[in-house]
Amino acid sequence: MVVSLRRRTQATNPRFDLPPSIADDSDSDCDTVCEECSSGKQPSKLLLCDKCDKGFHLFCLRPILVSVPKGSWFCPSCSKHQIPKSFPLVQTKLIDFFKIKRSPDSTSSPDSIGKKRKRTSLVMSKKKRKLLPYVPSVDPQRRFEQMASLATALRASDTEFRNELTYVSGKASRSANKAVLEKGGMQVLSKQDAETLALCKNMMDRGECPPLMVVFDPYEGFTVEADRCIKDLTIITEYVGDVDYLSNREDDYDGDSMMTLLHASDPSQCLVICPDKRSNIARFISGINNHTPEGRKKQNLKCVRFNINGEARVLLVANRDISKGERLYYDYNGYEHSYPTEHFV
Amino acid sequence: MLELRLVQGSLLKKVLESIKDLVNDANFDCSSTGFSLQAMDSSHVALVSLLLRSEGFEHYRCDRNLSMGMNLGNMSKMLKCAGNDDIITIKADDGGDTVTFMFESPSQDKIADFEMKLMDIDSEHLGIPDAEYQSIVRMPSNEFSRICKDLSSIGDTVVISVTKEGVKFSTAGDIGTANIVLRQNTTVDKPEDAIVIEMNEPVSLSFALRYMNSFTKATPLSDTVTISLSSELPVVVEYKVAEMGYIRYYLAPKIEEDEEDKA
Repeated sequence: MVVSLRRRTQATNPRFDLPPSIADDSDSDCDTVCEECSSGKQPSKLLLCDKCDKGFHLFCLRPILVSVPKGSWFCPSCSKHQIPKSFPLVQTKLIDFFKIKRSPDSTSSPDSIGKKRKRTSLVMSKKKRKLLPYVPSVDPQRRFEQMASLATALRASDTEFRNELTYVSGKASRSANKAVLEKGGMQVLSKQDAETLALCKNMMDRGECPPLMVVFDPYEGFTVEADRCIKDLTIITEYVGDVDYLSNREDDYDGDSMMTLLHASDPSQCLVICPDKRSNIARFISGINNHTPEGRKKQNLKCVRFNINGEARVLLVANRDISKGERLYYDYNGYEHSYPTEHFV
Repeated sequence: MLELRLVQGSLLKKVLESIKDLVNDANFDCSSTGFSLQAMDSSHVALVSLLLRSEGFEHYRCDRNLSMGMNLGNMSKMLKCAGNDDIITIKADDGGDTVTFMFESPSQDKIADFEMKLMDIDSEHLGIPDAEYQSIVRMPSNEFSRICKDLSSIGDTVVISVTKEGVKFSTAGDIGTANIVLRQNTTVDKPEDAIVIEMNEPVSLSFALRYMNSFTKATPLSDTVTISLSSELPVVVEYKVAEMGYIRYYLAPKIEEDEEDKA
């Protein structure tokens, strides 16, 4: 059977058995051109709307699509699944315009801030290699807004919020996640850093989320910005999702946010994290464009894998001081250069 | 010791009606200059700033600067018990935890007093700088109220644009779009019916109509409303209170991150 590269592009699955003329993918015999750039070049990346049959290059769409979606796809005009209501017009707050004159007299927060400061200063005493816990925003209202922005993004992506790796039936089980299987070995998270990570998890449970805001960008889609200064070596979040075998997911192009969890010598034991069904803010953080020098400069997070209690876990850690409002980027291809990033911003 | 006596008690009744739906609890600040309040609504998108100058009261005694935290819903319930012609007196002791409202009928034959417990409210006061606004529109307050009400039946966001042609209020919704244009008109019989547009620079901003409709609750206070717009600032909707002060509403605009959503 000739598997035409244009299977998902020039023809959808139900229409797979089209007359043989379509199978010839070397020249664009079909008159379909991209609605955005009017060119028929790169037909393997020319997606057809399942409703109106108009063509769109993956990289001409806004937001850019990384790969051909597995299920049906509708172009922006036909799609009912629009940008979520809250995003096209963003309601600003008065505090964006007017500064606070007199700070509130609240008795509780100064104490807890003091406690937190004490903790972080202890952690910060030996700077070099220690990981730092994130410092959440002080104002509970602001934290609420951060969580709301994440909730909106999760809702729009049909994802359930979980803050740790999930092992579901049909995918990998927890026992499959053995850090020792890692080819070349995996670095062990030190006791101190493990405590820092536990602290971050506890803070999250108490509603003290990391100081991050999910925003919607017309080019990048959902992306994450720092909502206050973040110091170098701060643990931003853990990359979580359903843990599955890489072999189960090789054909799955929908999982364009998949993250390598375990790179074993035996390919059947390789694990990936799939955040499409259950995840946290990590899935919305954007990747850099490895192919341009400017792309590399944007990177302010690194994605690191650790052996924590014998299990492989993925942490996103700041690799420089990040100022408020900066978008977060890390290198998707920390290990392999297999992820297509040419069209990333 | 605080004692403020207001002959035109209806002003205070109307003031409460204008703010109680926007803000639940707020601090009334009394100083020698006057009786004021600054509070944001729960979403921190709208702010109301009230000032009743001491000169407007028949008797104004405020020994020390005082901040009284009140539940505006409860205060409104009490003030509703005052007649429209009643003289209202506000009394409070320094260091006390209650405030008393006394209503006297104009013929002096009925006196009512209501005592309310004060609350402890942490408030963040915002520093509002005096700014030069790019455009200022003054129009009849009931016209503005009507426009906001009409447009909210079509859409939930109003775009206010001031150009040399006039001021345009537009909205879009599921059923369609609406545009209302007002041109400058100073040749009217009554000065309060005039539409005066002072445009230093054209400006166009979007706002949520539900807040605008809360602001127009202050319409009974004044025949005219002044709307001041600047592209980098929240809009100011101001209603003057007789000769003694004002209610100013500030509303943060909605910023478009993407192209206009099609209707």
